Amino acid sequence: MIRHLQLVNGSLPSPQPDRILEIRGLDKALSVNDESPNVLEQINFSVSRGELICIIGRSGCGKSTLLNILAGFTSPTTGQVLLKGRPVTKPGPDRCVVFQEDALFAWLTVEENVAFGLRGPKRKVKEAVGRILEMIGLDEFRDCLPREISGGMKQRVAVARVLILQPAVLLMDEPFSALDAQTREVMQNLLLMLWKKLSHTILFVTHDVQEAVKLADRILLMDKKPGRIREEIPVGLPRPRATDPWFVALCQSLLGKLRD
Amino acid sequence: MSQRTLWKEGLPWIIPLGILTLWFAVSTTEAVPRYLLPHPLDVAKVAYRYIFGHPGDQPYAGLFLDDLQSSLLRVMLGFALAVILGIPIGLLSGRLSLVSRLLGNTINALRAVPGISWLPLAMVWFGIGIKTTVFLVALAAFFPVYLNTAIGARQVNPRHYQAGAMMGVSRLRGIFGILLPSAMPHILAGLRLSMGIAWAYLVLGELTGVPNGLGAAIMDARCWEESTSSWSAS
Repeated sequence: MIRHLQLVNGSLPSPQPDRILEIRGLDKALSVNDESPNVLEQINFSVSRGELICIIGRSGCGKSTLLNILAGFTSPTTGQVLLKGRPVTKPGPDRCVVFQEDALFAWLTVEENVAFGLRGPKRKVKEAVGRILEMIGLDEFRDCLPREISGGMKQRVAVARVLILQPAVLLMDEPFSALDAQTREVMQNLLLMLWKKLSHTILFVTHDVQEAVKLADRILLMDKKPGRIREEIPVGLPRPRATDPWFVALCQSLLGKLRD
Repeated sequence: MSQRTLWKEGLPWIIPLGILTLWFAVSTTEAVPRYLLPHPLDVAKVAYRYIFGHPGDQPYAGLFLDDLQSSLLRVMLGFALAVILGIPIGLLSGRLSLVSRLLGNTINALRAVPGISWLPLAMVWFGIGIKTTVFLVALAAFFPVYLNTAIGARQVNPRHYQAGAMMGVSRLRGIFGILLPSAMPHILAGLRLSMGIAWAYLVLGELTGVPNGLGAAIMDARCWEESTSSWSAS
């Protein structure tokens, strides 16, 4: 069924030589002597430049741990993460994260939050911030503090402060789970719009199957205990994706697989 | 003024005015002997001359400004010392559990010693004068600053550090741009507490024969049985 989707819509995944991110043989154990199954086991996959990959799995399957390793906040027990061919060891602006809960600095305004990581002459920084704020539609709120704006707006700021650094890979850890359904839809569309404009590579972790099918070029399905990638599912549907029969069928199939 | 505004603004003043009235009543009727409780008008007169009078009018005439200056200097020096030591050590302690565990017992033990028992020790070390006062003030003021700063540093959201790291901020920026602003509300609370304690210990420090200062005036006047002046200096 899934393979049919690719052929019918004529969008076969083309050979993609430009591998921006490679994960090889990644293992993460809870502790050295622990007998229990690894948090992550033998994770192997690669991401091509400009792709939007979604990782889905049930709670506790280790998706956030995987993202933390990719971001450089923690290191794997064995295995390697290669960004543009070079191993990743610590956090940096080439792999930025948008977290589930907002991690904005409460004492800085929207504008200052977005400008935080950007170095350079004041005027240029201000221009860059201005452009990003316009793109995400928060131009009027630039002088507001995080406590004065809504959850959806805060996540927009979180996305903006990361995009402005032009990361090679954008890592997103269930960024829209904490928002209400309408805001979530708005944010998904916003993300797709930005992605279309800026064509950066995105790795998006979620537990929401519909969100994954709506956004992804490819879906990685994760098992839990031990956390491993069970399947890679290319999604060949053209965008914008409406909830047509193909969409629904794919969602059902994924839900079924997650249930096992 | 409307009825409601009067009530709202006036409420905090009811008790002070009540006490003042009671004071007047008690003094005028001489229910309590004068040397125990001077008449409020007498205190006011002495206070006036303390501030504005010329030397010779009465004991301590016109010395208020000098005394205030000396006291302020001592308090500020002591407080500054407490802050300069307290905030960096507090930040270190909050951020690094190693430091916090290292210092924990020592600081708690020192804190438990009442300020007044440091007085004789301080006099032996620093003699009579400004150094003793500054030492006592600094010692007392250190603890609120240190403790509150440590708490503030400890409760910084770890996500903020992660966000800073991924945005590539340097260690220095991490301290001044993330740690310090996050901990600031706690630091300020510590500073306010500390300021209050500093003033209290100032008087303690000045009770020991410093040549001038408000606390000194209180104690001195007591020696000469000028309780009225004691009251007005307070």
